[in-house]
Amino acid sequence: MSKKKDILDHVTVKEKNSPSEDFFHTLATEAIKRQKKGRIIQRSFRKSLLYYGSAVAAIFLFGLFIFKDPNIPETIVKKTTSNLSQLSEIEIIEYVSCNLDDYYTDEIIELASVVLENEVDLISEENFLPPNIQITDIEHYIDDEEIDFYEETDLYEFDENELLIF
Amino acid sequence: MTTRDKKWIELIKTGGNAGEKAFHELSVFYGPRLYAQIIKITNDTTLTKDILQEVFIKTWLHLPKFEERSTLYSWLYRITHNETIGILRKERKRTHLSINNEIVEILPGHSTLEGHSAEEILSVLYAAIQVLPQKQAEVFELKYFQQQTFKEIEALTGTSQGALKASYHIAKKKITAFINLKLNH
Repeated sequence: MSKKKDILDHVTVKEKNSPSEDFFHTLATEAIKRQKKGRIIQRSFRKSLLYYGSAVAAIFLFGLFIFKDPNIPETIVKKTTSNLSQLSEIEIIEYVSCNLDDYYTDEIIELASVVLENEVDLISEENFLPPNIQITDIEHYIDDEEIDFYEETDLYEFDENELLIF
Repeated sequence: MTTRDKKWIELIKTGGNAGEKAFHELSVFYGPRLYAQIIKITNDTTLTKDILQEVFIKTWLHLPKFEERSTLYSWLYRITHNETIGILRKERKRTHLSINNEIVEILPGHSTLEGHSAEEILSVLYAAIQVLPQKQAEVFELKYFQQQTFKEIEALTGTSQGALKASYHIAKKKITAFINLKLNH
């Protein structure tokens, strides 16, 4: 057995017939066709995505308008207002003072300024002034001490609880 | 790269009817070589056609982005190789696809080859080609399996005949050593 010849000289390749030119033309045509078909599918997909996206957005906006109906809050406000009118202001203030934690500071300040503006007389002179002191005595005291009630005051300087002392 | 290849690439990148015509010309020119590359492994004309179709689709899709860092043939060879291996793996999972032993004939007279079937020898030969650097594998494929002359390979790859001969010589030496090692083990 000879080892001198190269191994590959003993492994010979048989001839194989190659297909005709038309065969390769067909493959080329099919490749181009598939690529064009792929582009159409991509475009269709993008279009349908656009349509579905628009539909969802429209539904969302429509829903927003439904739930944001301006009439609804007014109805609720009217009903609330009518219920509140059955309560005295002292009852309301007492409720607020007991549930102070439920309110924001800004809400309290706003409420306090509204009350002050309306000059609600929550405390009657009769309940407040002792029998031996008159209104004129208080007026003289204010003048003597140079207390200016009309000076603008920053409500934020007050403690939250102080603002409820009207 | 050859002038012919550059012209085809340019036209295909431009697109339109001229691009399609160039792609047809490229397919007819390289098709037989790629076909031979595939069928020696599959020995199945239907499977070879399917694989080659995939190769053509990938070529048409990706050629516009081809950066010409290698020759056109090298690029096609690589796509064909990857596609063949990939599909073959899938096919082997479904059916036991045997290696094509009708592509080569084993001539008696070499002690290393004695006692081994053609299928076994071919399997080792293909394994040996797998470990070659791509340039050497390409030259070997074209010279050994496709019986091209060095002049024809030079026209195909743009590499000088001298360099091709050197590559082929080195490839043969490596393959021979590999087969000896595997079959004598």
